[in-house]
Amino acid sequence: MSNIYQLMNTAQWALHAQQLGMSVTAHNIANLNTPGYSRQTLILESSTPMDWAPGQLGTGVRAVAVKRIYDQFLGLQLQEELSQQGRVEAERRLYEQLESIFSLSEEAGLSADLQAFWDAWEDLSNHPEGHAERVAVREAGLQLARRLQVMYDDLKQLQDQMDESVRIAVEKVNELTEQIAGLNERIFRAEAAGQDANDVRDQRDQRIRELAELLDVRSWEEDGKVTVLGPGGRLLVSGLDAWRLRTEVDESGRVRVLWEEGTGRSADITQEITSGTLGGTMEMRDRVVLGHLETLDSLARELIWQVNAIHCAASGTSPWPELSSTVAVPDYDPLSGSPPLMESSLPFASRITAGEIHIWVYDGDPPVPGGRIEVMVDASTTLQDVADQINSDPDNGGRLTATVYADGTLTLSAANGAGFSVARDDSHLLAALGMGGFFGGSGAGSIEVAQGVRTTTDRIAAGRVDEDGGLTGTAGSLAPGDNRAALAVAALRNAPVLEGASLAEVYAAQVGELGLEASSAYRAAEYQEMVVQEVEDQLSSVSGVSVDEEMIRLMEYQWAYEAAARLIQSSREMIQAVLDLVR
Amino acid sequence: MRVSQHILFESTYRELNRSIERLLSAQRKAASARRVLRPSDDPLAAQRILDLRASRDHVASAVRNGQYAQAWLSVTETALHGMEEVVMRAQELAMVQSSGTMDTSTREVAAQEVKQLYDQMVHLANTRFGDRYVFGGTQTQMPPVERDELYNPTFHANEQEIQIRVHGGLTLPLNVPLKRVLGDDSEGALVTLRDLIQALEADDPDAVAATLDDLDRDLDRILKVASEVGARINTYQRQQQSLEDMEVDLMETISEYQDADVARVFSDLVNQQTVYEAALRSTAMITRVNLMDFIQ
Repeated sequence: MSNIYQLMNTAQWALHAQQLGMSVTAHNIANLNTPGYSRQTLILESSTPMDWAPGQLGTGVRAVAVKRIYDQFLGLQLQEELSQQGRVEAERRLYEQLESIFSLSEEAGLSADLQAFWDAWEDLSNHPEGHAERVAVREAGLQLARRLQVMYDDLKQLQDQMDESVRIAVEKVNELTEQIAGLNERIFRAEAAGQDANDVRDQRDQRIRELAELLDVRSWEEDGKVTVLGPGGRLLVSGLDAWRLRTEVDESGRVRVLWEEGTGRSADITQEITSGTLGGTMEMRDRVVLGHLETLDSLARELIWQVNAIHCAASGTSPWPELSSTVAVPDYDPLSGSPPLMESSLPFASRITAGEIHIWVYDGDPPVPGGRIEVMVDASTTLQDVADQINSDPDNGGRLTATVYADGTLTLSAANGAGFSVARDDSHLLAALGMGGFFGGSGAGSIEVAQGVRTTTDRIAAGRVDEDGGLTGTAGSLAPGDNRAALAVAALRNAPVLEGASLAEVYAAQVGELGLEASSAYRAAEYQEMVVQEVEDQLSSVSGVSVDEEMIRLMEYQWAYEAAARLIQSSREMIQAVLDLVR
Repeated sequence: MRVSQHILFESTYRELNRSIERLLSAQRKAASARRVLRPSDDPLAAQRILDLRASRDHVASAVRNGQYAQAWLSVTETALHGMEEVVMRAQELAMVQSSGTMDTSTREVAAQEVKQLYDQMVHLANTRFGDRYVFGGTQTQMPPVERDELYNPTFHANEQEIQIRVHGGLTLPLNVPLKRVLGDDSEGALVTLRDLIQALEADDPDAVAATLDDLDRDLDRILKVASEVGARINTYQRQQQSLEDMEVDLMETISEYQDADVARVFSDLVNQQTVYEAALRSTAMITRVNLMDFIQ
């Protein structure tokens, strides 16, 4: 039945609806810059009409729901693009760090240090008698070794840093999956009770996006509950449950990512993670940084070997009184004397060849050549064999004693007043044992200037013993002006020692390669950023809050509210008029 | 398209950032005057720069070696010229004193002069370059020759050649073995001078005359070595010129790869600055107004 009260009732519902509308608008404005927020709108419907004599009569308005404006498809696309962005962004940041390690600077770079080292040897070859030149060679060697070590350490640190970011990312993943499971529950409960869980849904979408930035993610929704699959299709969230990831350090010291199956077992999914920050970081760590470490290491290894191979068969300004191997044979067995040196675990064992070692012994000061000791090296020669050959050589005459120690080292010591010099070693055994080398160590992490050379620069070998005396008149003499060894070391500058390239060329090629990889990574990151922005803009175009729009809404609701209020006033006046009739 | 507040702010923020990033990059290039600061700026140029710098350093060290060799050889050449003069003076004396018209006293005076010539010869043979005896072979730390009271020479020099790297892997001998210049203790300039002293002191014109042939041979030897050294110096000078040219060429090429075109870099910098200012201005305009300003 239509009456004045019905009119008032309609006006009251209208007031209520407009007020709700204003609340929704206020909520939108308040969340203007909330990440992941989707604007909401009040759905109004006209209420059920009444059947009446002239026809159905409207009974006003009802607010039926508050809906969020959201595009499911764009949301999924954004999630996918964010995953890509996580990966390329991680790569970009790491390439920036790598580039600062491989500097192009003319003053401070491996390239410059290498050239300075060869220059110092060349200067020594021009003045092998000089003390200053020897000191210069030592300083250039120290600087070069230091540079290689610093670069190696920087790369190692970068790897450690990446391991740390993997750990942090995995923690973040666990946090997010738990939150998503929790939000699943809240949404399920709210919507089972007939509510629209708009804000909670926004939060859940935002969490899934954050998860996608970290690793590969696929997700879909069923009955208000979202299921999230991680790398390799492993379950991360299903219904109200979340699965955890954990990290483990492998034997090479690198952090690996494992997925816990829930029954106490876990599976290694390191290889399966290809996207997101985690995928990018681990790819960089296991391929790029490792590759550069290996190139640097082989460069240092070759430098050590080539210089030492010359240096160990050359002579400083005076003969040695004593010389010990600086590299012990690690698997030396004092009882049997085995293994043969070529088969031992010496870092450079594979470079030992069959050949001869010539050691000259000297008496008195100035040293007078007293004879030549010859050592034959072949595939079966052990450390003890070397010592035996030296001790039993007829030319030795008790001047030189070779001793093998139980720790796998060899020491040569001359009798009082005697000395010795190595004239030749085509077996390269002495270089492998680190006897009289310029460098110590076996790679970029361990390279150093050998102790003997560092403390006594006269030990830097610029010359060679004149074996047959054809030139100096005395076999075995050691002329102060002989510069043959220094020339040989200086000639390494351009020698194709590493796969047909010189050391400087190997380094230049490494820098060039890094540059190419880095510039394409930067381009990929820039491109991906634009793609993400494009999708974000599209999504925001649907779901984002516009202040102008909300202002207009606000005015709309305000006017409607004022109109409804006027309606109530009119009704009140009508009732008053009726009451006045009765009076 | 519906423009939300988020799009408006994000895109202005993005544009501002992009434009200041470009401005910074242009500023870095202008400040360093370098085109390639990081390998990724131009990877191929980065590799070429490192390779070229290595070549340049290699050439530069060859230039230094050449300078050293030239100085060494000049010292050698001067000493050889001195030796020539010694032998030529000895020839004059021997020629004059071998004649019958000279007597004991003139021969005694001549003997004194030849003794001085002998010592001068030893002094020249012991010429040093820095702390190195140039005629010592690789025995650079001991005087190459000494004499006893009877003017018998003792040689410490050896015949080993000292090599010096010129360019590429090529090495050339630096020194001249003393034996080729002065012979040894059984024949050669010093032995001839000793014989001449003895002949003069013995007042024996025939014996004096007998040294003339030997002196001719000795002079020939010295002249031959001197011309050889002269030729070597010429070779080094020519080479030096081409090496220095090469060094300059290499430096120019490196500069082409690594150095920025200053005019372009600065115009780029100004350009980027203008773009950045424009972006700031438009941001200020677009964020200043919205509907709220117009409704009361």
